[in-house]
Amino acid sequence: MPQAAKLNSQRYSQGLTLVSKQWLGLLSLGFIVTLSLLAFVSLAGWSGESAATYLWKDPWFWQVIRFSLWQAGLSALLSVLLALPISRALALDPKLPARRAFLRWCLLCFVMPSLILITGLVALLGRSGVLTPWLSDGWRLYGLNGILLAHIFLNLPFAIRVLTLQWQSIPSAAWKLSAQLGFSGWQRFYLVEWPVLRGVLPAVIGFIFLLCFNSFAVVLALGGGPAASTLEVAIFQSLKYDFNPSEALFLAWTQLLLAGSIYVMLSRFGRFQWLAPAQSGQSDWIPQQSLSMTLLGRIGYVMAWLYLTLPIMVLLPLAKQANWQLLLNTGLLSILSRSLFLAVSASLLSLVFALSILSVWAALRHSRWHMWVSSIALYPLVVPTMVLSVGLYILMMPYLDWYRWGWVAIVLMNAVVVLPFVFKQLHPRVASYQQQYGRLQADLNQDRFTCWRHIYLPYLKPVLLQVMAMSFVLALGDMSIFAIFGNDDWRTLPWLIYTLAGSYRLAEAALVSLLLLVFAYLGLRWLERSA
Amino acid sequence: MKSRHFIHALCVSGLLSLSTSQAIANDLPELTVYTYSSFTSSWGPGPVLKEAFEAVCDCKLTYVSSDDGVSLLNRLRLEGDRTRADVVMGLDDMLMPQTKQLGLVQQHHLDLTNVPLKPALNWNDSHFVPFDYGFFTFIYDRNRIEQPATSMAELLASNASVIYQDPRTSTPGQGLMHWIQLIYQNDAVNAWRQLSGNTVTVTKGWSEAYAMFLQGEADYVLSYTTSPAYHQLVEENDQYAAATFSEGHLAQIEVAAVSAFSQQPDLAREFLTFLLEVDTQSIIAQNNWMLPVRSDVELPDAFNSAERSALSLSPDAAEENRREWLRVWRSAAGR
Repeated sequence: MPQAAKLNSQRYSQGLTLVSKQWLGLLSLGFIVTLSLLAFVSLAGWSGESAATYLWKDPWFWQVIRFSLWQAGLSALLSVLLALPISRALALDPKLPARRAFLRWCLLCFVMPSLILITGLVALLGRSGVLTPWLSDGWRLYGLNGILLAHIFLNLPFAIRVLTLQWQSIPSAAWKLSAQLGFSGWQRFYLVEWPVLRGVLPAVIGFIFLLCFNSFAVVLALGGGPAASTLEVAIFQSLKYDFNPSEALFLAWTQLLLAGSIYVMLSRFGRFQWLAPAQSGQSDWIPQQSLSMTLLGRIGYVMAWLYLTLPIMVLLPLAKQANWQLLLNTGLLSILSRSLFLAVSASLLSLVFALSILSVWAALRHSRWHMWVSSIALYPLVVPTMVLSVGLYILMMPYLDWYRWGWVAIVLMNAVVVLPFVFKQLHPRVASYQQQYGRLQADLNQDRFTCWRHIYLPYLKPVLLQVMAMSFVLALGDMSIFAIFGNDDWRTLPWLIYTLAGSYRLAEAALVSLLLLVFAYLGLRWLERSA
Repeated sequence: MKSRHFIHALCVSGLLSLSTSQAIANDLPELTVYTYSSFTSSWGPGPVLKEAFEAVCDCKLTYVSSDDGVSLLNRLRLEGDRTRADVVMGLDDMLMPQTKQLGLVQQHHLDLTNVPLKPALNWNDSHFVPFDYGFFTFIYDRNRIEQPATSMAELLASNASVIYQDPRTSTPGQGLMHWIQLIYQNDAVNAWRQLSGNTVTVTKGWSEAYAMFLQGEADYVLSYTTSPAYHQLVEENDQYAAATFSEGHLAQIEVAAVSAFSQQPDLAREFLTFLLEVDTQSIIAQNNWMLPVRSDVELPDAFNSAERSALSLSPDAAEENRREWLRVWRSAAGR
């Protein structure tokens, strides 16, 4: 056999082994690619309508874009600015009480289903809120105020965690040196602390910006009219309110373009760490702080505690007044079990996706292929959930009774949406496994099942549990996917809260919010315990 | 191990809740009525009507509810011929042309000559039957507003605060849009701009807006002229009143029809006939807080003051201009 042909046939057989061994991963990849292609095709082809380009000339369109960018920018900047003194205090002030508890609370806040927070904010600062009498007469929660309050609540904790880790990463040698050199507070900040922060600040701001730009539930619930609408909400409204797919298509492309370019810019800013277990401060040498800085940090810390707990605390007295009978009549128990079932299924499915795709990733040799596989797993970060959901919904409508099968799509879409997160968290662990055990495993020549069960999965277990819990909590709080595929007779917990709060049954909404919070907390306890 | 059991238990309970929601009780024919949720809520007319109809039809009546009339239509068009709906109840007259064009409903073939419908309705639609109607207006609190606005122009020029509903999601909101277009026509943009200065918030549905108003968050709320009757009859409270505008008011007629894809067209027609009976009309008026379409229904006095001089807008004209009018509203109200 000539050399070239031999090589070819070798490649061919390698390809065959890949397909036969990695069919599940290839299937996952294919599924995700097909899903998104079809989603866009279906949006484009719906009743032959093309994108509503006339929107270019509609001042409303520009208003929506301006507002989407403006609120996201403000939310990101404010979150990070407020986080700076607090993280510094957490890292450098050893006398702060309850730091571990605070950092754990931060984690919960970041993934907290936003409907819980929205109920809390309405109870606290809404028109008949607990704190409202102390505010000026012109105070309005609905609109930019409410959106900012909610977005900062959800993202400040994230910024605090990242920045605290960053400050803690400064080696004590650097501190000692700066003290020996007699740096002033400002010099020390500029020469020792700033270089560590500078690396992550743009990425953190960019990431929060992206989250707020794609925010759905907060804007839907607290926007209060057409004046404060974001693209994501506008897409939802043009489909579900106006039934205007061509306009939705145009808005969807706009959002895809904007969110995509933000993401591309963001990915150049570098990476950061935030899920690492919270340390309780360095045991090592920590520099002396000036009194004013210490005071500022402590005041910030107390304010942060208040800000991050009051909207939840206010739910407790309110929930006591809830009418249990009414809730039981609305089928609270079946809504609860349905929510849990959907969230557990979605997080399990996303694990299957991630593990099988990572297994393909590990089996491939070329770095170009690696890049392709990773980008498929990560791309749902860039594509607005709303666009995918809407496309899939319309595409499958002629063949599927969504009324009956909507729950399958809810599980699938939630799994796809959390996939980038799961993939990113698992990726380093799988890579290190390949490095350490890849050859050994090949030598042992066990069958794949035994190997997975006894070596691979146990090796991944800590990370697996962690991401499973996180994706469970994220899926539990989902609003936007349900907004498309769910229906009024088949609600989940967040949607029940939205309906209750909408009809001003705040007490019942508070009770259900607390219930949702308990389950989110249990999920996260599991994470922290196993991590 | 504990956690594995936990997940197992969850899956089982989840599946149970999935399957029970689809169980069908017995062998009686099932009539599925798509409607909006305040109709089927425990305080709405739905439960009473279900009981009354099941007593005569030898069937099982199931409601499937959407948030409101507009989302009801959207749901129907998404479901197309796969819909489970036999009867579509709760669209309004302005949505009729669109629904017919989309082929979602069929002709009712009912002879309505023996039903004493109010002459003002001038009803002769081949597909839809009316089941109640009401006039849009602004409701105010007598204790707070001593001199209520007597025209739309006066309301817009005042500095009174107003809550209304999103015209894309709720039929009252859409009604206000039509009303303003009828009064101001080409000048509607300015009317909306003026109104946006008075607007506290634009809500998704009627109930949010009305609840906020009752908590004292605004001077006026967009609702129906029949709303005070509810306070008078149920709460024995005379505090709330409906404004009368010199420009005239727009009526909303709520309608029902047989779905084009119904498996039970005869039963569905029977339900439409039932909706027009005197007793049913009285139940609907006093639970849905709208006016009856028959002229021979005895109602408490509180309903008497609900009639207004009507502006007329043809559903076809509304249909033709809806998108344009929505754009006008969206850009003017969005500032």
